Amino acid sequence: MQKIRLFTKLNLKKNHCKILLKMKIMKFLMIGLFYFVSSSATAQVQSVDLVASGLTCSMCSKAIFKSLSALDFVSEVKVNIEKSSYNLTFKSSDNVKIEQIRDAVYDAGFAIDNMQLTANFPSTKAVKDESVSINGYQFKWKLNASKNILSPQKVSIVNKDILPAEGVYYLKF
Amino acid sequence: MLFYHKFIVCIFCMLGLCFSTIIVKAQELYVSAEPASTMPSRSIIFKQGYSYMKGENGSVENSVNNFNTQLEFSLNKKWMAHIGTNYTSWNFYTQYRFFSKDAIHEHLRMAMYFKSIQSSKNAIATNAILLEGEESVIQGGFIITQLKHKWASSLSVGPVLKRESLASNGAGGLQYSFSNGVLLYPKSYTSYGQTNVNLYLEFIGQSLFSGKAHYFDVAPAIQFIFNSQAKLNLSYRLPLVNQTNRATYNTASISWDYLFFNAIPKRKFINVSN
Repeated sequence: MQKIRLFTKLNLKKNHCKILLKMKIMKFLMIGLFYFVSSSATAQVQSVDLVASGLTCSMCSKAIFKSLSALDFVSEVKVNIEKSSYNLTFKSSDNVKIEQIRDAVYDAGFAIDNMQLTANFPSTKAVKDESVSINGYQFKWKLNASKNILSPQKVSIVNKDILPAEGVYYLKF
Repeated sequence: MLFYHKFIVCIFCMLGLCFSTIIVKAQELYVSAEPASTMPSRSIIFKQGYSYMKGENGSVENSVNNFNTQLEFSLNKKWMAHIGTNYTSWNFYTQYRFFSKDAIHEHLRMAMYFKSIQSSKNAIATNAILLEGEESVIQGGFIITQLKHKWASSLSVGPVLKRESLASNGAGGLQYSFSNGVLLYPKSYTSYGQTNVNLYLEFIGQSLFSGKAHYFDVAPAIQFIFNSQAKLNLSYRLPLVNQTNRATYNTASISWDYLFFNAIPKRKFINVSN
């Protein structure tokens, strides 16, 4: 009788282990399936480089500098007055709002000639029209890249209006 | 506008363009006129000025000393307003930028403006419409400003009317200006702390609709910008053509102003699209 009980206990433990193992395998399969189905790379912005247009004087340049510096997620703005270029670094990569950076330049009274984002991408390949997520913004690669994506990688926003209300947003490097 | 007046305007426009083509870099922060560009959004400018207007034939008896204080503010990138006083009159100015085309180191902008001057004095019996607070006036019009890497020019034109007119020649006219600017120093920018020195050549004209009076003044000016935020302006305005009976017209002016960035708190409803 004791042997039967011991045998039953052992069988129950074996079944329990099998169930746990199956659950772990299912969990990994689900995670893998999620990444496979979503087929998109996620990245976070480390810095932004932009060139402003419509200005020549230092007073105008300072207006843009002050407007960008007032954004609460920006830690530092470095400027080249002659080239009208600005480099922004952030307090945290999580909270970067690209449309607020765009609007800060517009509010100063000027426009953006080009904007580049520096980010770490999980994938090393850029395939044309493949989705890319950066800080929650959905982009697509404009072209197939001939080189691997570096870590970190600087990419350009193709759309001249920088995240217009309608349309698809493209990146290139 | 009389023919010879048009001829003189054309000559000085051509001279202005010739002058502007030798410019290395130019500024549009004119002293006597407003460019089509507006102030940075949510900023405030405080301005204080003094002008000495010499009487006719250099007469000291008719000379006028004018102190003026002005507050300029902008709620968004397209609209700005000024409120000013010379302590015998008040003036309100507003400007709306409705067109902007920007490229690297250049832009083309257009704006419309409106100005009202309310004077405590009675209207003066003169055949020119006076704009320094001597009488109550309203005016409006359009401004177009072109900035290219090597030059910046601005043209404004619009009607000007006396609120109460004692002149038998009519109460209204056309007010216009043509401004050019050049950056003399620094030769290249390395920091916001560098002092900027700008030279301006501005033309201001008025012609009554009746055609019976007109003037065309020139106002060269020199401007110093400190820390890319404060300005000191020195200008002298004198007539090139004067077919009016203005009591004063040669004017020496000095003014300074300071720009406060991000002075007005941000509100969602004041944002406008580009």
